[in-house]
Amino acid sequence: MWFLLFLLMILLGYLTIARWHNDFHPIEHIIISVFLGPIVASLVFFGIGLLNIPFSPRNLFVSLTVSCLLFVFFNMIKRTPNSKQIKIKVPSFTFFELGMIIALALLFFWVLLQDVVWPPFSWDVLALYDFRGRVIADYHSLAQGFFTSQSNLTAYNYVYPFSTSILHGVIYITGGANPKFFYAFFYLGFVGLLYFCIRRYLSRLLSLFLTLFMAVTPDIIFPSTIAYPNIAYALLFSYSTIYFWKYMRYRKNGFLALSILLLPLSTWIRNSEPFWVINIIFMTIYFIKNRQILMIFAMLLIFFGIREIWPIYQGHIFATSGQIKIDPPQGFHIDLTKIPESFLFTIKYFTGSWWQYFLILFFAAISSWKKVLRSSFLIFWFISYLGISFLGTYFFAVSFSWWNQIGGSAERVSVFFAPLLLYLLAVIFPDTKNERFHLKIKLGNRIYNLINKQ
Amino acid sequence: MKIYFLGNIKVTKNTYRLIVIFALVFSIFVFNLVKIKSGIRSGLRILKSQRSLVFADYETKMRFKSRPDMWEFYQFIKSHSEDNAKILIPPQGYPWSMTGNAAYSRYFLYPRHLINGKLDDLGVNLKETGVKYVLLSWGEDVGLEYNFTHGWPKVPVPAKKIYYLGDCYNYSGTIVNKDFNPNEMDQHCRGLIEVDWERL
Repeated sequence: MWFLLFLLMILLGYLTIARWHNDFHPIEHIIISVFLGPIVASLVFFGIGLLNIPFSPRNLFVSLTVSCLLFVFFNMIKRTPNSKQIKIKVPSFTFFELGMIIALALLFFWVLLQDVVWPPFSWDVLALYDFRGRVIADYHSLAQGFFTSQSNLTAYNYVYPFSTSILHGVIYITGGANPKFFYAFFYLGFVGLLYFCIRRYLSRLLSLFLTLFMAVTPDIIFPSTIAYPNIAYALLFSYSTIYFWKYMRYRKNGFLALSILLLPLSTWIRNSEPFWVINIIFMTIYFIKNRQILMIFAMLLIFFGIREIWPIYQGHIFATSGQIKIDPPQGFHIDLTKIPESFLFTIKYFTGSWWQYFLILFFAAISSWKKVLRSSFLIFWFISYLGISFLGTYFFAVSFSWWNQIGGSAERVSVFFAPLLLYLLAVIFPDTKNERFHLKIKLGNRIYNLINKQ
Repeated sequence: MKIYFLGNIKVTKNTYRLIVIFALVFSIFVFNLVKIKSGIRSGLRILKSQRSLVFADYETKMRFKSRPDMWEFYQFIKSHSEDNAKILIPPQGYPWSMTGNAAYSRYFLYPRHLINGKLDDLGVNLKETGVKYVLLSWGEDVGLEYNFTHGWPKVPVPAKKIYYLGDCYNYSGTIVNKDFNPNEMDQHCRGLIEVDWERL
């Protein structure tokens, strides 16, 4: 039964953006559905939990079906009459392209195998995410009574939103033994979407190669097998940014809608990271520049409408149970000595894991500085993430005595840099037009295909 | 910009740049591939050598993935305490990184209620808080922190029964009507003390 529920989640994800299906490649649309559906479904289940409707298998199916029908209705109103017919043509692949597609498929199946065979076993997953899922399954509800019954653990139980825990819970309720398969599909989304985002800038071979390049990054593939929510957060947040960047270039409403939806959903996975502030600021600047003032209000309404659900619920729980947040800050104050320490910490942990990506981007940037200048808005946007990483670290350093023990967390949070850096690389990639003719003659078709923009 | 001619190939600055970028991307790709190779192979090797585990039940898989001695200890505690029992556990920190971590241990002992004690005394009034059991643990880690030393509890506890997992000092199995004495502990000690509330 859990598998049917999963299929219904995918359908929900598909319908969520079906209104703009012309803006996405069919495979891209399916990949988005596979990770967007479960996240939206977890929000729906949280909603029925707030209404005190028990999480029985029947209620779960009914709530998802109703949500799907709502989206069907939403997609029917004011639909563009001349919607483009989907034409799926099977492309012909070169030997190298086929090899890379097979390699990507094998990597995904390896992650899926690890996730399906082994139950959740990592420390934080047992202590928090999967434990909450088991309790939710046991109580068939949000289990407020249990989660607030132990005062010393109440704040910890509510430290992060329930998103992934609800997904674990509903899989247990519907008879599944292991909900980790979700994380393999988050990996698929994280890696797979990159191809569709950079394809417009680069050849198919080079796009596939950069996708494979990201897929084999140790800090991406291994966390996908341990049920930490970081990959899911990175997936939603990074592609929220990238689809907005794509919207700025191609002005397709589907990209904008997806971007605006993914941003608050990323805070439904992890709400303590402040990076969304940067997106709100830059999106607002863009809308003002393009005189889309109404879009600012629509964006803020959708963003805070989804984002504030958890803080309000959390605040209500803390107020009714007399709890305060975990480890309240020791009081913010200015401490100049912490500035160099925070700077080094930011360099070491936020950018340290991605030095290879930065190095490649640096070489590409000095090779095509004109493109860098043309993409200065995107570059400045990205640099702002580093800036807020530093500010966040500094705030932590002056507020908490144990601030320098969060290096591992900082590394896991920074995973979202990877697709952003590769997207920027694709945008500023040096022009290969001049090399085509000569390389084609002398070095043969394989190299020619490598750099030829198709 | 043309730099020089090599035969009929016009090599430009851009060509060099592309070659450098491709070489860089490719070498980092190979570097990462080598880094993940051992992890992927070990994941596959475990599945190959433990084929029976692939379709095994949750308990069998968890026993394999978690520390087997700790899995055994948690099962022992579950089998000697009621579902609704309150259990006093060691303070959080090494050498009790697992047994002293209420959030971690509750995963295995749910729905039992776990309360952290203090190092030199129990830290709570057992009768008033309804604590029926006190965990007995030398410590699962060699390392220490916060000036902790091995062996907990460090004070005598009036006991109805003491359930030992394996041998401890000169005891094993279930000891009835004998109070817990902290001086009678060694590195093998693991168990559960059923508190005698009448003699508190």
